[in-house]
Amino acid sequence: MTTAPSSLDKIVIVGGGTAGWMTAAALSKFLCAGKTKIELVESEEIGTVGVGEATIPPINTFNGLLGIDENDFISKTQATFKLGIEFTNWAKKSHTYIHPFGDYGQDVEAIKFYQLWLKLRLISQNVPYIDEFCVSAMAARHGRYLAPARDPRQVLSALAYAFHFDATLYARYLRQFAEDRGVIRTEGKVTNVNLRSENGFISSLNLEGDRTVKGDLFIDCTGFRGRLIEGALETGYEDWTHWLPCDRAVAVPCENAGPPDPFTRSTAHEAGWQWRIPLQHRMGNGHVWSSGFTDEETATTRLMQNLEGKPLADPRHLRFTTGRRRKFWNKNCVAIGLSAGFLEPLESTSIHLIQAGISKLIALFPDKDFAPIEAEEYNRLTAMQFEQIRDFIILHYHATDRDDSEFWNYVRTMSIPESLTRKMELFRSKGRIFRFEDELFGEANWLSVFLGQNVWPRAYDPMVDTLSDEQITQIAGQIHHAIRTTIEKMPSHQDYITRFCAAPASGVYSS
Amino acid sequence: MIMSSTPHLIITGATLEGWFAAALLVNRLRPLGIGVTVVPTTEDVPPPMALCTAPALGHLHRELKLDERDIVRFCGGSFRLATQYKDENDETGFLIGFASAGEPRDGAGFHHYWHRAKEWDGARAFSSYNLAAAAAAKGKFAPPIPEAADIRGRFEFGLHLSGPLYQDYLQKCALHYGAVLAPSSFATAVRDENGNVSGLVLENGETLSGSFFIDATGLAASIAGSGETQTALQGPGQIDWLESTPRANLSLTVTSGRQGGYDISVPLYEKTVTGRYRASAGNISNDWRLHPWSENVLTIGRTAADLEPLGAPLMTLVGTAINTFTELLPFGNDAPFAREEYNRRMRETCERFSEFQLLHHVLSSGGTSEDDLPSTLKRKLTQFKSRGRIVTYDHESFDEDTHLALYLGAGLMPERHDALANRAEDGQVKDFLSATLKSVRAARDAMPDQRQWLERSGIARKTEGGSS
Repeated sequence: MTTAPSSLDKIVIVGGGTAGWMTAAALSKFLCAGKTKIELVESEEIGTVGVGEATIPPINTFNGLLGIDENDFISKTQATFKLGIEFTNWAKKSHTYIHPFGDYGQDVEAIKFYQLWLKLRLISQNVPYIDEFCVSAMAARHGRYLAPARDPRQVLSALAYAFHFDATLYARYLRQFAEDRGVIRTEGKVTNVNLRSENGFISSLNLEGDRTVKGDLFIDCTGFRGRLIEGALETGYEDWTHWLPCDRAVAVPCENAGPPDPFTRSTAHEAGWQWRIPLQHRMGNGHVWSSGFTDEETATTRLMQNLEGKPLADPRHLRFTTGRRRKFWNKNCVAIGLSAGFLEPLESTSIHLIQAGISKLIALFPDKDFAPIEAEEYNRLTAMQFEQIRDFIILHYHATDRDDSEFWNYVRTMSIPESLTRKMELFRSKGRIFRFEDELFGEANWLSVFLGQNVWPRAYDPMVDTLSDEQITQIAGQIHHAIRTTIEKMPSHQDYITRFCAAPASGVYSS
Repeated sequence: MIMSSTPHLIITGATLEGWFAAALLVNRLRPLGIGVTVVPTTEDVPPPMALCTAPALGHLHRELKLDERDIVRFCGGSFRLATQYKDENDETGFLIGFASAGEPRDGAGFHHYWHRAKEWDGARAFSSYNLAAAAAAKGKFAPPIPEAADIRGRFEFGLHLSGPLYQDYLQKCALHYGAVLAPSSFATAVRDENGNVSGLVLENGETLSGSFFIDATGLAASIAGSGETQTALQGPGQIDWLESTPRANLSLTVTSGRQGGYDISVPLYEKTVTGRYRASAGNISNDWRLHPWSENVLTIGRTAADLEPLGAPLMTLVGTAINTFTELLPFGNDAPFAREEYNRRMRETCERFSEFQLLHHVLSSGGTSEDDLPSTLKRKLTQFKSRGRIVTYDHESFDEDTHLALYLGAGLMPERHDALANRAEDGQVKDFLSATLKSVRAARDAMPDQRQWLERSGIARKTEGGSS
C-alpha cells in the first residue's frame, strides 16, 4: 500500500567548503520546495582544503542543472577552460602525453577509429600520434579554445571541456546561490555530536556558545577528518595506500608567467607528482608525495623550485590516507567530499565525486524512516565508483618504465587489483577496452592513458581488415585535415576568455 | 604488434541459430577472407514453431540489408508492438510495449508523476501512456516515423515469425552472402594433441578442416559436448506447440498464466501458434553454460543456453552472442583473454535474462518466495518498492522501461515517488499526464489496423511455402 512519505523537516550540512556549498546549492534547488529546511554550519576558523580546482566535463551537467550561466560563473571564479591533462615524466622521464577530453577520430560503422589508427601505423610511415586525431587534444596543445558546435557534423562538436577554477570562489558563488534559495548559514564550530540512545542516529550538534543544531539528516562535508561520519559514528576506513602510496601534499599558488593553458599539467617526480592548474588570476600548484619514499623538506623544495612565477602564499601542507570510508551513508549521516574518502587529484575527480554523491543522494533521498535499503544502495554505488576511479589512477603509476627511484620501483612492480589486470590484459591483446556501463571514464580516456603510459596492443582488431589500406589512409587523412583546419580557425584560449568571460580586473572576486 | 591471421570458421548445426550466425558472420568476416561453412548434423534441434523477436534484432536485420517487411511476408508473420501478460484471475492483465511511457520532467521520470497522480486516483493504467502498448491493445500498427522529437518516432517493434520459415529465410540469406552448406552431415570431430578441434569428418568420409568452430546444434552439442552449467532457480520445463485460427489482433503477443506454467500465443498472419510451457522435467533444461566458449569451440543458441520461453530469449541471446564474439574476434595469439571475457559477459547476460524471467514469476501470484531470490534480484525489488527506483546491471537484455512496465503492470507499487516529482503543483502534474495521454491516443488512433495494413501493403502472406 502506498503511503505518503514523512518528509524530513531539516537537513544539516556541516562544513562549508566546495562539498558543503555544492550540496547546499543542489538540495536547495531540487528537493525542498520550502518544505524542508537546510542549515549549513561552518566555521571561518577552520580552513577549507580548497585545492580541488580542476574538474572534468560532467561539471557542466551539474552547473547546467542548477541553471548557472557559464560566463558569469567563469568570471566570478577566475576560471579557465580545461581540455585535458598533460602528463609529463610518467611513462618515462622526458616523455609527455595529453589525456584529452573527447573522442578520437570517427568510428567507421562498428570499428573504432583507434583500431584503424593502430593498423595505419603498420602500413604507413610517419603516422601522427593519435592526439592529432582528437580536437580537444590539439586545441589544448595549441592553446586554443572555442565553445563546442551543436551541429554533430562539425569537427568542433567533438570538443569536450571542463574548468579550472578557484575552489574557494566557487564555494562562495554557490553559497550565494544557496542562500538565495533559503539555505541558512550558521557560523560556529561543532563541539559535540549527540547521538540518539535508541539507534545511534545523530540527533543534534552542539556548537560553541551553547548553541544546539537539531536535524533529521546530517551531511558531513568536514573534509578528511570526517567529524560526523568518523568522529561520531566511527564508520571505519578502507586504506588503499598499498596501491596508491602518496599520502602528503604541499600546495602553493604563484603568479602566472604567461597566458593560461587550457589544460592541467601533471609532472611526475621521484616520489610523487606535481600539479599545475592555470587560473585567470594565478597558478595553482601542488606536490603530491609519499612519506614512505621522501620527506617534507625535499618535497617542498621540489615544488618551490618548479614554480613558474612568484609564490603568492606560504606552502600549505596536507596529510591524507588514500582510500574510502567503509560506509558513505551511515545511519542518518551522509559523507560527501573528502569525508567520504580520498583519491589523489591526478585525474581531477574530487569535485566529480562530490557531484556524484549529491546526485545519488537526491535519487535516494530518505524520509524520516531512513529505510536501510536507500543507504545500502547509496553505499554500493559509491563504493563501485571509488573503486573504478582508483583503478584508473593506479594505471598511471603501475604502467611505467621508470626505475629511477624506490618509489617508481615499488609502484611498477606492485600487485594491482584483479579488475585492472583484466583491463590491461584485454587491451594488450587487441586493444580492446572493457568498461562497465556506468563507469566514469570512457573508452577514449582509457585509450589515452594506456598509450600514454606505453601500454600497446600486440595486434589490432581483425575487423579492421574489412577495410582496405587505401580506405584507412584516406579516412585518417580526412579527419586529420579537418581537425587541423578547425584548430587553425579557433581563437586562443586567452582571447576567448578576454572576450566572453574575463574576471574583473581588480580583486573583487579574488580569494 | 603482429598482423592477424585469417582462418576458416565452421558452424555445426543447420539450425535457426546456426544459419543466423552464418548470415551475420559471413557478412562481417568475408571481407577478411574468412569463409563460413555450415555443417548439418542428424541431431540438429528443430526451430520453434513460432518466434517473437525484440527490436534489437531489427538492427541485425538492417546490417544484413534485409527489409523487415520482406521477412514478415516470407515468414507469414506480423509486427509486434507489445506483450500482454494475464492469467485466469485477471483476463485484462497488463501490457509491456516497446516504448517509453511518457517523458521525464525536471529530473524525475514520468512514472514518478504517474505515481503521484495515482495517489489521488488521477492516473490511468501505466501502459495507457505507452504508444506501443496502446496501439497493440487495439491491434494497430504503423512503422515509426524517422523523427525522434515526435511521439510517432519514439517506439520500436519486434516481429512475430514462423520459426521454420524464418530458419529457411536465414539459410537463403547466409548462402546469398557466401556461406557454404557442407555436402554431407557431421560424423565426428577430430582433435589435436592440445584438445582443440582441428577438423570435422563428414558422413561421406570427407574431412573439413578449420581453426574455429561454432556449435549450434542444440542440446546434442555435437562437438562441444557437455559442459558445466548453471540452472535457473525455477527449474526445467516442457514446451509443446499448438496451432489455432488466426487472431484479429496481430500486434500483441499474449502470455497467459496457467496452472503450473503459461501459454505464449504468437499471432501469425494466417494462424495463431501457442507455446504451452509447463514447469516440470521436460524438453527445456532451463540452464546455461558457464563456459560457452571453450578452447576453439563456441556454443551459441540452445547449445549455450536453454531457457524457458518467457521474454523470448532465443534470438536475443544468439544476437548478443554473435555481437560479443565479433567484438572479441579471437584470431591471433590472444584467444585466452578474449575467451575469458566472452564467457564472463555471456554468463552475466544469461543470469540477467533468467533473473528477469524469475521476476515475472515472483510478481505473479504463487511465484517463487522473495526470500529465495538472488541478491541482485532482491535489490531490484527492494529499490523499486522503496521509491520507484529502477536498478539494472551490466549485460541486461531488458531496459529500464521494460522493468518499469513489468513492475507497475504486475501491481508492484512503490511506497513513494522521487522527491523531485514533488516540485510541480498538483494541477501541473494533472496537465502533464493529460497531455501525454492525449498525444498517445492521437498517435494510436491515426495508426491503421495491422491486418488491414499488411494486406493493403502487400506484406500479408496467405499461403505457406518456401517463397513469396
